[in-house]
Amino acid sequence: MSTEQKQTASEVWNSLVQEAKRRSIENKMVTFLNAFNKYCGNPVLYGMAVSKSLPLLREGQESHIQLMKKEIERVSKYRAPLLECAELKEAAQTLNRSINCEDSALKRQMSQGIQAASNRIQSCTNVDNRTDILQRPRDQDSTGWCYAYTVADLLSYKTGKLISAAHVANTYNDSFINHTKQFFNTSEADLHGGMIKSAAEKALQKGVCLEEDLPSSDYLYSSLTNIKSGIHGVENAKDLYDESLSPSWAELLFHPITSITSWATHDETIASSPQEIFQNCPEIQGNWKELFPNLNMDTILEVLAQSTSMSVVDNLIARACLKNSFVPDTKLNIVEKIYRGGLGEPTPDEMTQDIDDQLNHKNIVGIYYKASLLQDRYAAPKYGHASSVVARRFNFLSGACEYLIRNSWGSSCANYDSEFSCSDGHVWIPQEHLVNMMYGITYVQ
Amino acid sequence: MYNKNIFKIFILIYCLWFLTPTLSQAIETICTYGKTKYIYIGKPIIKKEPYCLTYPEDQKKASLISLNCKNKTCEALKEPSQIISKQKLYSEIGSPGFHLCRTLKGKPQLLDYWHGNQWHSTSRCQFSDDSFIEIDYLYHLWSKSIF
Repeated sequence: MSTEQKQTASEVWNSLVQEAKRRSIENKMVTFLNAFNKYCGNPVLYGMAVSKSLPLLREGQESHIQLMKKEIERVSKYRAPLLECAELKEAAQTLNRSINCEDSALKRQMSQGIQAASNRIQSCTNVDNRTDILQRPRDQDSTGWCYAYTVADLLSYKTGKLISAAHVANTYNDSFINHTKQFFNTSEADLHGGMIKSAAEKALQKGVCLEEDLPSSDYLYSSLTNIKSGIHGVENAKDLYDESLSPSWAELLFHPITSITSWATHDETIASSPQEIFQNCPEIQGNWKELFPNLNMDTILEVLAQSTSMSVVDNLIARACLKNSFVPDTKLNIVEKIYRGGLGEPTPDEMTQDIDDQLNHKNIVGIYYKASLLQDRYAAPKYGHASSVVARRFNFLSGACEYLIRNSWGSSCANYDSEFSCSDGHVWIPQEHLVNMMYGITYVQ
Repeated sequence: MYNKNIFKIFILIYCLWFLTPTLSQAIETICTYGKTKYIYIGKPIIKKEPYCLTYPEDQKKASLISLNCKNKTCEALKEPSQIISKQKLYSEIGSPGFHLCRTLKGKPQLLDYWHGNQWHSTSRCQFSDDSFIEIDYLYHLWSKSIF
């Protein structure tokens, strides 16, 4: 087992120890021990892990009973907690205890849940606001631009034109804070995270660029590279360009003879060298053409000559969007509500009502939420993420009102909790779980 | 004329060669010489290439694999051999399936494939032996090693 694998195994073990304080870890522990035995190949270590796992398993079951009791109480405000009750019974049985969902307290919560669901049927009508303009879910791949993909969805939906998420991210990254980060050599593509409202407003002020001029779906537009490596490539190319024009001071100081030779070489090629370098390098050309399909080599070289390495991406984007960037005719108002647990802030339940209102009025809504709960509904809330809510339905099997999240993880459905139904990158989240993971909404009026 | 006939015979032999193992395969993997579509430098590329659809017992839908994975001896279908930290796959940046593909030294790609008279949108992970596997299926195969 490599050092890296040992470290990963140790991290996994620590996370299981933490998780046992909140819920059952039986399945995960068994799987982990199997994997550990298979890849580690050390029977002594494996034996130690097994013996240490036993008290953890018990602690996990105890925690799970408490978790399910809380979940039954929480969920019964939305629907009948049948699933949670079954899990509660199962957890109790493993500890040789008997819990009956017909007990008075649980029975009361069950009937409260049934009542809540029957009330919700009336308002949870089936709505699907997806239109052709949204196309298939995009894949943010290597970038942290979920907020920009959400903005692009919201604005594309409102304007009927497919907006470039890369342009939204670039405009947002031009803020003072991000410029400061860039000054310390952070690449445009490495600037992660953002707020939907602020990004949407900045994009609208500056004029939004279309997807056809500035492609932003990683790999949809490429089989060679992705946006992140493409932008890195452009920034590196700027350095290459500068180097091709003059030797550095350090070179002249420490290697005067070779520098003079190389200077002479450069000197000969000043007239044609950058053109030749860039035209004869398919790798660089690949980056340019994928990121800026409507710019020719002359324009690119002109921008390179006029830009610093900090401004080269911005200037290329400005050129790419010059003709087709547009500001919508009607003024668009961006509404954002965030819940941080403070008094007077709209709660996730209140925000769900806003989502309903917008869906009923044929709009879609951007949401902020914790992505760890997409993969595992009982996980600790981690990893801030943003997506769009595009539809709603009532699930008669579970009795839950469900919302359709259009994610930016491509068409994959492998990454979601097995209780959530998923199709082509869209995942249905029951209301009781949505309110648990969501901490903000944004929509365009 | 002579050349054209030779060409037709060649195509016929090729198709027969290609279909024979396909027909003799068990139902769980069906191979075909079909169309794939992806975007390359802003333009859609439609290509004819061999691929297979496999129907794993524990999966609800068919999964795309490369022809050289038909006998399960390719790099894309090799047995999981390491523990993978979920934290790395579910960072705040990027999609988990693509992260997994890269962790396994593969190259992820979005593509459509033609099957049953319609295009199906998916993503695949390509490996150095030219084998590939649908990313959802890859994730499923590795799910017991991801924590």
